[in-house]
Amino acid sequence: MAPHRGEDLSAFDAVFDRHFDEIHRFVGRRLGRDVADDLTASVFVEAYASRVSYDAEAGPIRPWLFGIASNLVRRHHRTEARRLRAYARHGVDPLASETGDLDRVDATGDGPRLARALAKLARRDRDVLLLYAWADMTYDEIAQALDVPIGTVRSRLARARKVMQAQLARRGAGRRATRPLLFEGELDG
Amino acid sequence: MDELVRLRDFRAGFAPPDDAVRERARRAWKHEPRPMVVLPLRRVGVRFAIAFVTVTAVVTTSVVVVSFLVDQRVADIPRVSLGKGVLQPVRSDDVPQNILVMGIDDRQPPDGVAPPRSDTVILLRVRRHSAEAVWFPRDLLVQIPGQAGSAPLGQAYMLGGPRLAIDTLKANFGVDVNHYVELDMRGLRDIVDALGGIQVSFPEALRDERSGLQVAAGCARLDGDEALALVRSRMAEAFRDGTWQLVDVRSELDRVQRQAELVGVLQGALRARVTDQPRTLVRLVDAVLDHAKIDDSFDRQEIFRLVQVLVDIDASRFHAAVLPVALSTTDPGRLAVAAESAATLRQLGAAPTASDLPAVAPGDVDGLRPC
Repeated sequence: MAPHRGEDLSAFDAVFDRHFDEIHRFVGRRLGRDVADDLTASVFVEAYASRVSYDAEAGPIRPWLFGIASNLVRRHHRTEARRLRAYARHGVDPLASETGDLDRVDATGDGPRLARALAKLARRDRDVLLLYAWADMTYDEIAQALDVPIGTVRSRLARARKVMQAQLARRGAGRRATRPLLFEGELDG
Repeated sequence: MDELVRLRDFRAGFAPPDDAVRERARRAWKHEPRPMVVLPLRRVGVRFAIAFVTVTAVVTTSVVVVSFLVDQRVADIPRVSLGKGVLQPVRSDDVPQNILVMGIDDRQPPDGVAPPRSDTVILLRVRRHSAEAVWFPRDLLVQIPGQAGSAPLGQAYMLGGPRLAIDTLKANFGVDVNHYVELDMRGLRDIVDALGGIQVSFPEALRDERSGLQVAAGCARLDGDEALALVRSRMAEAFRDGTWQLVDVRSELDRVQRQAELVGVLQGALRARVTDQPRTLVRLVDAVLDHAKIDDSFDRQEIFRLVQVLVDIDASRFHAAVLPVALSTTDPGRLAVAAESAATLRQLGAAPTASDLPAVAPGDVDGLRPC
């Protein structure tokens, strides 16, 4: 029995209101605000169009939405990698330069180093790491979002974190001048 | 643990989206074609309902695909800067957009240099779920701003580029142009090739030695080069009673008429091909973007909407028409706005609308039809 369209719209409105901003933020931090505006809209277009295939038994709706977002982000992975490398090289957050919002600083001045490390990750490992760190998802939810076994989530996350640690520990990574302090990782050498 | 903490701080600085962005996104999913259309099943028949849902789903998928393609390539399209005040901004989604599409011939003669010439002038008017295209023949006599007397429309581009062409349309027809698209002639060839050729049938064999056109009578599959020769032809001869006879007595007018017919056939082929073969769309978008230039205010959202409408509408919602013209009485060999359309234009007090003009049906000139 197909749901009545009016009910469907208002039910989905609630889903949209609850999740739009956080998905926009997730996508925006990865690909920039310009891409995020359209891409996040596409996430909900796709979700709404395929809502019949959403299986409520399989879990809550949030991982499903982030899964769609991750799939869409993947098509821009070249853009993402380019932005990360540019950030690492020039020390200017591409987000700040795109909005002219130069006051926007990341709290630690740590951006270029992180960008550089993220750029080194394999695409799939990065997907898992960012769902874990930025979308605050559990292993289970990530497995549901990306439609991979939970063991795969574990191994990708472990690999991603190892690469991150190694990269962040490297001396001279990123732009030193913008950082007021040394970080622990650096002392380990 | 450290790297996770640092990553979270890194994300923390990202500000939430504007309300406008959020509301635009909300409109996007609310207005998207939906596979879940509830049909009166008993009346229409289950089989039809299934077919309908499948087709809608495929079209929806293709729209999503287009949005990515356009997204990825939008930054690479060459832009034309037209200066302030030339293009009229679009006020809202509900007002139709006027897009001036010009077909440019930039081939160089073997001896010397020639400026690019505008071969084709089309005013494309795009509404939310329909589109109209009005052809303005390039030999049509108009007043070009800054020039004394009347001159063929095609000269505006040669004298002052897209800017003067837009001013000329405004001065003569009251057309407010919102966006500008330029396609070079190879664009059409690649579009036809991306579709794997188009099938048309002709009642008589046709040839035009100047454009290289050569088609036999009956059903034929034209490739890109042949389609290009067809729309370029203005001196076509048909094989009648054992000899070749000139049929294009109206020259330029026959040429634009043929273009309008071919675009109608193309739009039908596009819809059919894309529905059963979504990959065609990838090649198609590439073909267009390789040969297009657009104005620098044409944003991603608007491009997406344009492509979406063109892929989505069926033939009944796409009108193609040639502005009614007659041979000029003062300058034989040129064209003038026909008396009846001059009256129509005055009445409308604004841009001509294809639905106000007699539509071009396949078969008007050469009996060209899809087959």
